[in-house]
Order: sequence, then C-alpha cells, then structure tokens
Amino acid sequence: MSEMLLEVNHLVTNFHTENGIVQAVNDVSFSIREGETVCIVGESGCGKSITALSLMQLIPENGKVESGEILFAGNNLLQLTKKDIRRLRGNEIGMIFQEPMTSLNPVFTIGEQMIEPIMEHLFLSKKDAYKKAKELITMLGMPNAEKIIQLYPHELSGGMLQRIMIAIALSCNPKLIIADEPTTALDVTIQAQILDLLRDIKKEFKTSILLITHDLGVVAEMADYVVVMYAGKLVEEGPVLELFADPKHPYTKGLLQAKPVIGERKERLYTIAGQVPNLTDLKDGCYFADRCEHVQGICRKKQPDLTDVGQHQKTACWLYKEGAR
Amino acid sequence: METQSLLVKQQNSKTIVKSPSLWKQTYLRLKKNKMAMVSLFFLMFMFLLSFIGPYFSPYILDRTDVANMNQPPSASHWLGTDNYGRDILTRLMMAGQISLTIGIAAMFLSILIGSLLGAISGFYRGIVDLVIMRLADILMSIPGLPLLLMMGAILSEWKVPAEYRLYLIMIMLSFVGWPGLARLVRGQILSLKEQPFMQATEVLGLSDRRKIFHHLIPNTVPILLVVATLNVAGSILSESALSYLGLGVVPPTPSWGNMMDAANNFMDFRKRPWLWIPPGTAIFLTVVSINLLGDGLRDALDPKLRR
Amino acid sequence: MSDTLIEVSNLKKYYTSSKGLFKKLSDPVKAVDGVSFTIKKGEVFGLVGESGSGKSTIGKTILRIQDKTGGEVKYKGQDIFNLSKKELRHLRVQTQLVFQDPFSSLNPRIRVGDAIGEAVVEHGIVSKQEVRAHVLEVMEKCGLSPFHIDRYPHEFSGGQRQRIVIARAMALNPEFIVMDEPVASLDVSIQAQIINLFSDLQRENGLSYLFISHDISVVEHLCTKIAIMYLGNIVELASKEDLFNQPLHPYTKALLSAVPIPDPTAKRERILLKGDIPSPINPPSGCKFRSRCPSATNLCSEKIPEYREVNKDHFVACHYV
Repeated sequence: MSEMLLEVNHLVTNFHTENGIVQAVNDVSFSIREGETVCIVGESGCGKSITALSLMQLIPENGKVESGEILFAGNNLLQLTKKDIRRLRGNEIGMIFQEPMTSLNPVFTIGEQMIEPIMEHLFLSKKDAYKKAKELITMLGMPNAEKIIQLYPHELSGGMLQRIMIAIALSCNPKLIIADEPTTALDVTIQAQILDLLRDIKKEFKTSILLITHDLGVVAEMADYVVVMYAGKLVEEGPVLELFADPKHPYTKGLLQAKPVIGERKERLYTIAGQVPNLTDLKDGCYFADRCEHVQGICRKKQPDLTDVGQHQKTACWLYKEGAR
Repeated sequence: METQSLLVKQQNSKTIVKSPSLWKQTYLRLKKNKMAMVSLFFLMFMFLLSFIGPYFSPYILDRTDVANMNQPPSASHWLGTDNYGRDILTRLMMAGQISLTIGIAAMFLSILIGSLLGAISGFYRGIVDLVIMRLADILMSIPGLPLLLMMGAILSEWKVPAEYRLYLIMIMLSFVGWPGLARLVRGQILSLKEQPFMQATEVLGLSDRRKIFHHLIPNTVPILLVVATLNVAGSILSESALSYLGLGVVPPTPSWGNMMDAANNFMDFRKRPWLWIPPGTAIFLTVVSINLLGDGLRDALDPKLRR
Repeated sequence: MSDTLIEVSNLKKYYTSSKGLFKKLSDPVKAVDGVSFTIKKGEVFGLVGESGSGKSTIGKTILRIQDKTGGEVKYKGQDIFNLSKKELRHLRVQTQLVFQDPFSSLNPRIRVGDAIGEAVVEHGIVSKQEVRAHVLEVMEKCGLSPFHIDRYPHEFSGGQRQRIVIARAMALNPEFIVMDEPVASLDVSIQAQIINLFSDLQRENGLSYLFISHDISVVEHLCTKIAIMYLGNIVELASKEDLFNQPLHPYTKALLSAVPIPDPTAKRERILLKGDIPSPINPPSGCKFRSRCPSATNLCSEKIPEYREVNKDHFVACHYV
C-alpha cells in the first residue's frame, strides 16, 4: 500500500445566502493515496466542486469551511496561513478547471502566463522559465511550442487551452492535481485526448489526481477509487471495479442505470423520480428519501451513516444497516 | 414526517398556486430595501410640499415686502426672506413645482423620443437604423452642458418670455437626453431579438404584433423604468445648473437653480445662508433620493443581478 | 413506408461576417456545406457532430428560422422557402423546435400557462375559453403538475423548464419536432426522465423528430436513423443498427471509440484522433477530415470524397470505403 497523500475528515462547507444557510458540503471524508486517481461523481449542486475548492481554500466569499480537517502530507491545510496555502497551490497541488477559456487571462500571452508561476515557485530566471515552459508544451504533445508560447488564449482552441492549463498545473511537479470537470466543455474526440494525457501523466510522474466529474463514463475510465455525492453528502464510496460491479446505494444504482450506454439497447431508461432537493430546505433523514424506491420509515427520520459493505466499499443507506429494517 | 408527506400530497392535488405577478414581486422586493423606501417617502414628501404646500402659505408668491427684506428665519418666515422681502419657504415650494415638473416632463419627452427611435432602429435595422444612430452619435459627441448653455443663450437673445421658457427648457433637456435612451433601447431590442425565446415566437408562428407587444416591450420596460428614474435626477440637475447660470428658468419664476443664484453674491453667501442653503439642500436630497430609488428599482426588477 | 416528411437536398448555409460600409467581405463560414437527407413520417432521425459541425444550423434552417444559402428543403413535398406568408404560418403549427437551453428559451415575464397557450389561441386551434383546459391537458402529458400553470419560468429547475418548452411545442399538436441538444444541459437523472418523455410522446402521437446531439449514447437510445456530421457535411448516414455494428467512415469509428463507457472492465481499442477540429472558415482541402484522419493519403487532400450509397440505405463520404 502506498502512502496516504490527502486525507479529508468531516469537511463541512456552508454558504450564507439570503435564502438561508446552504450546506454545500456536509460532513464529507475521503482520502487519496500517492499515485491514485480518486473521482468525485455527482450531479449539479451535489457539492463536488465546492469540496475541491474547499481543499484549495478557493471558495467564494459567502462560503466558509465550518469544520473538519484537510490533511495534506500530514499538515492540516485549514490551519495554514494564506501565504503558505498560496505556495502549496502552485508547488504541491495543481488545479485544472472546467472552462479553460475563462481560466486564462485574455490580455497576456500563453508564455507570460506560464512562466510567472514557474519563476515564482521554482525560483528560476526568466530565461530558464521560458525553456521549462517550452519543454512542458512539447511534453504534452503540442507541436511548435515556440509559436504557441507567443499566442494569446483566444487564438487557441478549447482542447489546446486545456492542455496549457494542464501544463501550468504540472509546471512545478505537484504531488496532487485537482481537476474540476476538465473535459465537460470539450468535444468527445478532444475529451479522449485530454483523458489520455491525464492517464499518461499519472503513470509517468506518479501524480495523484482528484477528478471531479458528472460523467460516469469518465469515472470508469479514469478512477481507481470513486466517491459518490448527493446533496452535499457522501452517499457511497469504493474502488472503481467493486462500485461499478455492485453499486449499493439506490442513488448510485439509479445513476448507472439512467445513462444510456452504447450497445445496450433498452426500451426505456431507468429514471430516478423527482428532483434534487433544495439545499436550503433539507428535511431530517436521508436526503435521497423522497426519490428513493426503497424508502422505509426510518429513512425519513434519521440520516444513515457510512457503513462498510463489501471489502472496501462503504455506503450511507438504511438498507445495509443491521437491524434497521 | 406525516405532516410533510401530507403537505406534498396537498400540493399535488388540484390547488393551483398562483405566483404573484412580476410587478408585485418587484414591489415586494423593493419594500425590503430600506434606502429605496426612505427615498421614495422623501420624494413623496417633496411632491406634497411643492404642490400642496403653497396653499397653506400665508404669503403670495411674488409679493415684495420692503419692510421685511433679508430677514433671517423666524416664526413668521420659517426660512427667512430674500432681498425683495419674499418668503423663502413659499418660493422654495413653488420652485419645487417648477423643477420637479421640468424634470419629469423632460424625462417623459426623452423616453418617448428615445424609445420610439431606438425601437424603430433595433427592429427594422437597415438604413433607418443607420440614420437614427448617426444622428444620436452626433448629438452625443457634443458635451451636453455647453449645448444647453448655447441654447439657453439663444433663448435669452430672443427675449423669450419667462413663462414660455419653462416649456422650451423641457424640450431642450429632452433634446439632449434622447440619444442615450435610444441607444439603450436599441441595444436591448437587438439582444432580445437574439434570445432563444424570441426565436421561439418565430417557431410558434406568432404575429409581429404579439411578438412586439407581448414579448419585446415587456422585457424592455424594466430597464427603461430604471433609466427613466435616473433620468429625472439628471434633468433636475441640468435645469438647476442652467437656471443658476441665468440661462434656464429666469426670475421672477422661481426654480431651485435660480434661487441658488444668491450664492453668487459675496455678501449673501457669507452673511445670509438662508437664501441658498434651502434650495441647495432641496436639489441635493431630491437627486440623491431619486438615484437611490433608481438603484433600488434596478435591484428589485432583476433578482439575478443581486448577490 | 414511403411517407417522406422532410426532404433536404444539397442544403447550404454560409455566414458572412461583416457588411459594414468600409469593410470587405470576409471569407464565409461554411456552417452547412451541401447536406442531403430525408426524414420519413414517424422516424426519429439523429444528427450527431462535434462543435462547429453545423448540426444546429441545419435544425434552424429546415424550419426556416433562418435563410438558406443554397439547396432545397421540402416539407411534405412543398419547398418551405417558397411559401406564402399564410402557408408559412400553417407550417409553423406543424413543425416545432425544442431548444438546448431551457433557461433562455422561455420568456421570463410570461407565466407558464400563457407561454404554452398563447400560440394555440393565435392559430385558432382552441378558443380563448377552452385554452386553459387544453393547456392543463398538455401539461399533464408532459409530466407537469397542474398547479404549475400560473407560475413564472424562473421558479422551475432546468428539467421542469425543458418540460415546459416541450409542452409549448406539443400544445400545437405538431407532426415534426426539431430537438436541438434538448438534454445537453441537464443532469443524468433528469436527462433520463426527459428522454423517456420524448419516446412516450413520439410513440403516442406518431411524431417525427430531428434529434440533434453531440452525445452518441443518447442518440443511439432514441433514434432509428443516424447521420454523423463533420465540418458542415454528413460523413456517414445509416440506420442505427448498421451504424453501430458496422461503422464505415474513419471519423465515425473514432467518435464511437472516444465515448467513455461507464464500465471499468470494458476493454476497447481506442482510436485517438490527432489535433483539433479545423476552423470552418478555412477547412482543409479535399476531404475535410483528412487533417485528423489516421489513414489519409494524397488523394484525400486533392479530391472531395463523393457522398454515396455503399450498402442499402448506408451512405458514406470517404474514398477508401
């Protein structure tokens, strides 16, 4: 077993809005080992992106990490100063966002935006930083780095920009890359290229990856370990093979069945009735209860904890609790 | 739990929940905004004071009273008298009538011209658009105040009687005000026309009349309302500036601007602040209130803009 | 079944960017560059392509929401670009469009019931007195609760709004609906609900769809005939079975292999395409796909491949098939 790189324990992140307090991340715990890819899956509003942003302490102003701890290589990130966090962000943890177009500043060239973090974090001269940037671009499979470095973001396609974002994230040899829906804005054939690239990076540099996505297909292709979130809660987690072979939580099951799959002809798609609950107005009990086929009395009264089911799999559902029936 | 599922059941039954109309929702949101409500009440007070106040005043507007010249505020003259012995409070209220009327009338005129020309431009495009917009460009490239000064000077040169000047000032102000509005409305219509819901009206085969009156115009009204409100403040300020310089409303007709003229006289400025502080305060508070109300309206009308 | 509903032949739509006083005309964007296909009555026709392939442009042009540059579109044998104003209005009742973004395709200032009912009244299908009953009936068909009728669009989630948009289209009782990426902005669990609604409505009302999507798995689930587009052209067109069992065009093969499958045990040969989708302003000469094609030759850069019928009802545009 390789070492634990990141451990998130009982993370709670709230947003204060005028409609009340939104519990975006509600008591979430998971961990990432060195060289492992962990995927957080969930639908919009389930708190997967906020979880990632909480790790980097990049949550919007009206949000706040209320409690919990985030241990990165043994240090609790929530107790670090702003300066230390900033150092960590470039050096140890790299980040890739959904919209490569808006993550880069339109008035600077690609080169200028790449060398800045390299100079700052690796203490290189401008010349060496340029050389490093060029190396990175070439390494990520883009020909004529010389030219790309002089271009502005709008002159590159979405796929190219996402490569540049990955290059920036990689520039300081981070131990962990957090990728928040990195391929959602891209076309399928380009998505395949980027996923392939991420896999190569993981293999070559033993980088851990935290991949946030809504696409179960992407999860199946990339993940070693999967975390499923619903309405701010962690509902199921487990190694990818186990989880896909035998999903336990009704929500995970529903998600897997609701997606049409090529080659699997079905008359009708399985549907999960209803909608995601309003996060400002959550009831007691399991948040999935209103949409669940297997709902029973206790589901509406008390929230289920995560319990072990199978070897490494855990789920938060009353169906798997001894004596709850 | 029982009650909750009961509630859900009730909702699912035949009870139709009618959302309050968007105007009502706007009003409810506006009501929550304290600054805007204070401003609204102050403006209502200003209106009442200006339009009803004079009836309760024991003094006649233009009656001079040599015995009581330049009196400081007292029990009989709450805000004192001016250098002809006229009661300042009465003049202030009458001036309020003039200034507010000019502000609002000028706003209505510029909205009328501006939105009409803007809508025509945006809807029909082509050569009409080109002509109207270039005309607006030309007018907007001349700074407003000098243009008004020039026109005011011409009025003085032609010796237009004081009572007619009022109307001419309104026209002048709207002449300067419409190009901005026309651009705004045109921009609104252009961007609305590209919205998928306008494409939907095309797919649904709705008539042009319905497209314009049910889909386009109701979506431009909110922004127009905000701009119109702010426009009143601008008009009041411009009118005051002109009148202060003696090129707008001229004495004996009072206006807040020409009452401020007292501040030009060194003796009046130093020794008799009751001559110019009341009109100055009136202008200031009115304009600030209108602006606050406008901001409040904008927030209330578009909940998406709020954080 | 020879009931042809829509017949598109050699349709072209170019966009020219500027028409200012002093500016020269720039090169046109060839969004749709000579596309032909037919849709039969009751057929669900899928149009798949990546960004810039021109699939949405086709959807809008065959409903005559925008003008064409060349070619012909016939609806029930009538050229739709050759209709009188009255005939066009009649066409509007029979053909509908469902948009991608359920947020901007509803007028924020109009209540749900009015949005669904207004066109019905305009076209005189139902009288003003009966419209409310009609609207409620359609809403129920589309899975909307009746108590939603007097609310505003902003009070609804994306999935419900899409139901409203569908109800607005269905209220006119159309025969043909263009669906322009109708589930692209929805979550998986909501997407499944809407897709099932599409199948139900189609089956119950004998509708024909043109279903535009970038998501092949959704298209495979819903459609009977599928066309694959690349940079303004159809590169392959076949029945669902033929296309998935025996894809012929290299782009189709690559596209199918690029879709992630939610099964970690699946072992697949991935065809990774090199490079980016070229700009439609300046596409490669000859075959537009040659810049990314793994098996491109000199011939591909010189000659535009002919779009031809290889097997029965299976069309491909490639020199090497």
